[in-house]
Amino acid sequence: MFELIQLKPNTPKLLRYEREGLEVIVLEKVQDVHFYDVAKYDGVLVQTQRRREATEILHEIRANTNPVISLKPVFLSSTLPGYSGISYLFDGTYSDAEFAVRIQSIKEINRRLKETKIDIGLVNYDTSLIQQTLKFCYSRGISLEPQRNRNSAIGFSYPFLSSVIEEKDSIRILKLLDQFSKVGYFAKQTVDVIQGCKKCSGGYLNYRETCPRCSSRDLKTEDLIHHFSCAHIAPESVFRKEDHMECPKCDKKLRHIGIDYDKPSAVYTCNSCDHEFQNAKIKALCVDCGHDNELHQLQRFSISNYELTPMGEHAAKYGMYEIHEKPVTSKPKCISLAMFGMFRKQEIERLNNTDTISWEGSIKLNSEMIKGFGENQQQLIREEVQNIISEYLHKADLITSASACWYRFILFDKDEEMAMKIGELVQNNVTKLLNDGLNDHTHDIELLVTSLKTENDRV
Amino acid sequence: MTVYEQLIPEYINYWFEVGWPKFIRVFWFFVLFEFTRYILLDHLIYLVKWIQKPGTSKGYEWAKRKLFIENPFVSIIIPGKNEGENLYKLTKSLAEQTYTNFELIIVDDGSDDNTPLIGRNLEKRGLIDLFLRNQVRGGKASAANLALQYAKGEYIVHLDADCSFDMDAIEQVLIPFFLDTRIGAVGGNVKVRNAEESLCARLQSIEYLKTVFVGRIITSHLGIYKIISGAFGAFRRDVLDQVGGWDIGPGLDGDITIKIRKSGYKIYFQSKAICLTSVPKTFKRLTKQRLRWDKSIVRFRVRKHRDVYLPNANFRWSNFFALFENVFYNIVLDLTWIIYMIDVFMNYNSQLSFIIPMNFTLYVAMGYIQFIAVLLFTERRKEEVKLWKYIPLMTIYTGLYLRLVRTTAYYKEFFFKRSYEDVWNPTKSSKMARRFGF
Repeated sequence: MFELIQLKPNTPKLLRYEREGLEVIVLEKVQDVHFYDVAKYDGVLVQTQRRREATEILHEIRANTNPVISLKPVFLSSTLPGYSGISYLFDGTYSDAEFAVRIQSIKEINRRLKETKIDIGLVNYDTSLIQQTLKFCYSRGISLEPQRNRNSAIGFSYPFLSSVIEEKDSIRILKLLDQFSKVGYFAKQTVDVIQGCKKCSGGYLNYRETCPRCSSRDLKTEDLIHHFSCAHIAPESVFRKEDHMECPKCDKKLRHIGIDYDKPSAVYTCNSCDHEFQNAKIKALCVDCGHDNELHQLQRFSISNYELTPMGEHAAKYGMYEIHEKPVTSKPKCISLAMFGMFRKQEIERLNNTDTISWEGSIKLNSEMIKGFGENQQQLIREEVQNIISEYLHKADLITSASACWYRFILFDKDEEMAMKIGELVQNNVTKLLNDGLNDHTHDIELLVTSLKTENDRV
Repeated sequence: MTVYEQLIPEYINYWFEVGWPKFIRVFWFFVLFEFTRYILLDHLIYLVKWIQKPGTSKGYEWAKRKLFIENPFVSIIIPGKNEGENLYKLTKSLAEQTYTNFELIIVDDGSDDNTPLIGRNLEKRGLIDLFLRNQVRGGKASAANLALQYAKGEYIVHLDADCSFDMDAIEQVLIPFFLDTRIGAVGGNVKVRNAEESLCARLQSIEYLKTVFVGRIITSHLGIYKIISGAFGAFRRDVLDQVGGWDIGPGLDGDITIKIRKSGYKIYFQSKAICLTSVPKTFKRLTKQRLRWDKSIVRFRVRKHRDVYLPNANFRWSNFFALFENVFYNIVLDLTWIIYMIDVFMNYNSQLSFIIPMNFTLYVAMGYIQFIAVLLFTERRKEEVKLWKYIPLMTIYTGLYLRLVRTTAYYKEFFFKRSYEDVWNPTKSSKMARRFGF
């Protein structure tokens, strides 16, 4: 059973679920997030009837710099009117009847959060943010599904990310997610395409018909009338005579559309410059920055659903290494075996005089299939594996390979946990390449990561 | 028999033998109508123009100067359907003009091809000033009237989209307005561009030179010029407003010319304003075109504008003769020719072997003499002289083929008013035009 208690007057209530040993804090005011140590509770219930208050509380939690707080399971009272508009900020709603269910959800989220470990070497904010997002998705078992939100600059919000990144800067979310999808953490599926301002990427655009000559919006449009019997054609106002229509050319009364006359088209008149035209120029005014965009200048963004890939799940659980800021230029280059040997020797000497540790990795692919390939194909595989290894290495690290089946790398100044993690990631992805790319399930990969400090020179 | 007599074919010697009275009796149709109109008159006018040339040249130079001093704004309007592919070439041709103070208005009359795309694109690129489109086809007259509605020029130049122009064509077609303030409209000189493409086109090229070029110089000089080609004509804006723009065709170009004449304005043919057009390459298409044109003669010049023949307050001899000449030389003489043929076959049946070749010879000779008149007037002598070898075929082309087409058209229009059924116009318009006698 659970009980609702209030330890002191004017403090948040607590929901205790003794059998499970859970304690959930019930927040009613945004100040409570600062005054009370939310991190020590298993979850948060937001109990307010004011939408603005609820939004602020949720933002304070999700945007908290402490990941223990920002990833906390948060549920919102289902009695709050219009909560669906902010659903990207919380994990679900609750009502008295649903407490038991929600307690299970909180337990499950916390259980999965515990599976994730602390970050390793994340100095870049974006990478750190994505790491949190991966953990968020993994702990909730959800994908990042865009939710319509009129306050967002792109018209959509994403769970977790939109609570951290300001709404006016929402385009950054798309760029981040796309960047990390390319790396392989997310599988992207486009659900919509939006157009954004050329200047600020804002998606709130006011499409307007303007004069192609002076760009004025002060336009008047009028139907043209074609009188069949005399072929006279003019704007409708020319034919209007008080309560009827009469042809100014032949003075005949126009009675019946389709019989006496028709309206073959319409013409715009610009009230500013008197220009007459049929095709108004459509322009898109950005509501955010006020830039008047030509249609061809608008940027196009795809709004997608981002689902965690196995690689993403792995990164959520075991952490990411900061390797993606400049994916092309920051990769270490593959060097010759001789040069590798020379650097290795120097590094061993250096390590003897310092307290730091560097690691040497070695991967051997025992694949009959690779051995059976021709020289060109072997070269392609070699490049592919080198690329995979370099993805997880710092640009200062070194890679070499003697053949398509044997690779070596040096990880400078890393602790053991990180070195092992990188080795594991490399092995997993090379296995994936062989399984999925070459359809070779008979291979065997030998990975060895050893400390250079204790090694003898082997080259 | 002398050597001289031996060189001349027998059928010609025969006519020397029988003497002039019988020659005139047998070939009365040629002598009375064809020779006098197309040989005597043409050359007489040429002589007059040649004599007057120094004087007119002075007036012409003054008018030209006045045009460029006043520099009036001109609206060039081009109504048409499915003319997209011609538009770019047309804009290029107009971009070369010596007279530049004009706007270009294209009206797309319900095209069902890519004309709207092309037109909008050219408008966006600034090659067209205004591109108007009727989503629903209304016919050429309504398209021209729509352009007129939005035209801002003092003068309106009406063109066909498939034409190209000498670089001074617009200048030349405007100059006559400054020669005489009573001129309400000026017709341009339409010549054939695709003469090389087929025999049919070559024969039309000769026909255009004789009837459009020389023919209109003569009628214009006599003050009875009655048709400004839709392909190239210039109008005073106020005059067009006065006559209410174009009425429903086919033959709206001839109709509006008569309307302007009836309003008391002069019509002028400017032979120096050269426009080149593409004519039908096959006889099948030519027949279709001519049936349409010829029906309009009956519809407009006999039926709609019959008041010009009646002594009323608005009666003018010049209008009377303009239409009478046209109706007489086309409709009346068409019927007379049938009477003539009956006369020959009934009265001179035994001498047909002398009559037919002689008749052919006369028409060929007349063709060459007319061609000389063309060469005397033309500015493209070198190119056009090459057509000389096709002149003999013109006897069959104009004497038989066109006469047959014409007669068929007159018959259909006189008795069945078939012009109102022509698909050239939308049915909705033709139906109402027929009902109200337009």
